[in-house]
Amino acid sequence: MRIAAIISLPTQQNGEASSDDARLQTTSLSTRSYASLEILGQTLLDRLICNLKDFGIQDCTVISEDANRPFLPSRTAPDGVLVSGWENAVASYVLQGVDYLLLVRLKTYNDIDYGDMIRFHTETKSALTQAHASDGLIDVAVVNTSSLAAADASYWQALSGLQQRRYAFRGYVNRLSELSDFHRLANDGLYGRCNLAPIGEQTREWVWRAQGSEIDDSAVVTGPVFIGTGSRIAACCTISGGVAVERNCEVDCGTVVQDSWITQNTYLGVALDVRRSIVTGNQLFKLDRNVAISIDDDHLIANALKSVSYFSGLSNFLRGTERAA
Amino acid sequence: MERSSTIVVKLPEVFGAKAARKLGRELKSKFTNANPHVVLDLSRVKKIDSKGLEALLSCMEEVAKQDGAVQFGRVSPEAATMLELTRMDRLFDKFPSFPVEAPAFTLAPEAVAEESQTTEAKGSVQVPVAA
Repeated sequence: MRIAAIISLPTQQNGEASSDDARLQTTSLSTRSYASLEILGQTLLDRLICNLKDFGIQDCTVISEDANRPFLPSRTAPDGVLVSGWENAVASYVLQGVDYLLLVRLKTYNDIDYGDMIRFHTETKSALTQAHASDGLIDVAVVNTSSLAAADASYWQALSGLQQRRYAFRGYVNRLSELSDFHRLANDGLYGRCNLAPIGEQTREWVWRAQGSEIDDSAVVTGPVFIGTGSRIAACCTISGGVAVERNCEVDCGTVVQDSWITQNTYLGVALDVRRSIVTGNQLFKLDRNVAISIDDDHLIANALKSVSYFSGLSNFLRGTERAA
Repeated sequence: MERSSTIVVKLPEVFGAKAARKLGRELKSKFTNANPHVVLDLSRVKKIDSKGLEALLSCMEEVAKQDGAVQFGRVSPEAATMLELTRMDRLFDKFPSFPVEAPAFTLAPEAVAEESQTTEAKGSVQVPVAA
């Protein structure tokens, strides 16, 4: 039995962005996050590909598609609808003699056991199976390529004619529809409420550190906390209660971070107080107020790649690393 | 006994360096007696940078020199977020405040808005009146 996967990344079309700033930023964050933003040390796309490999699915194609396109066509799908990237991927796998196609749209996070879903699909002998959670359908489906190959029209249209069966999934699902959902996902991963495990070594209870991360001896770190690759927590910082500091971040002296998600390459300045927030680039989203602010001052919050830490030289000197160098 | 005056300052939507300088100048010129009470209304503020924050501290310092008090009036969610981030919310919370029912007089919003020097020269600021 040969299985391949087609993963589609939803992208917002030009001109569709909402005029509301907060909404715009949410859209921009979610579109970026699937493929490039790391959550607890790895992007959702990379995690999915790793999961599929664990289930023995080696062939995988990633395509981008209009976020507004339905995941599966309706029965009354109009003629002539051509989803070129998707069609090409399906055609390629049909030619290769793949038996089943796993279709996944990376718009939600879920802990579906793909092996179990494919087993259900084969046992029930259905042509098309879509996952279904208690709050609605999930964009994960399995289809027999033989059912598609026999069709005269496009594969997309052939899909609309197939009898569909539902695979009931009662595990963890996060729709990632609101910005706060990303924070919740990181938090749920840290607290072990879903399978999104931090990618790093657990150095002590509830504290995970990726390779190359640095935590100053004077910093207070109380888990659950994840510190990503190459990230640095400077002197006298307090990091506690559900914090994910992703790759290449710098949290400068005396700053308090609590219950927050700091996305990769972010610099947090000296003596700040970051609570229940998402910080990405120079933007800070305050979850409790549902408000986003942009900060133009590089001394406060900035992209870590361009910021200068005035205190890092002093910290290094005090630790004696300058002399060692 | 000298009576204290209350000055309500409505800060503009963008409170940056320029508006901060203007706030400083105008407050100094309006302190007519001791114990001034300054109420900073940040309800319209959408963006405040470090110069703006510095100006708030300077304002507090100036008022403190004259045994007065600075209090925040209404604060927009954006301004509140920035004040919390920089921990300035705590600083102002600790500062002595005056009774809420005290009469207040509002400086015209344009007084501290980001505008050209020509508009500033027109002097749209109302004179603070003794409470």
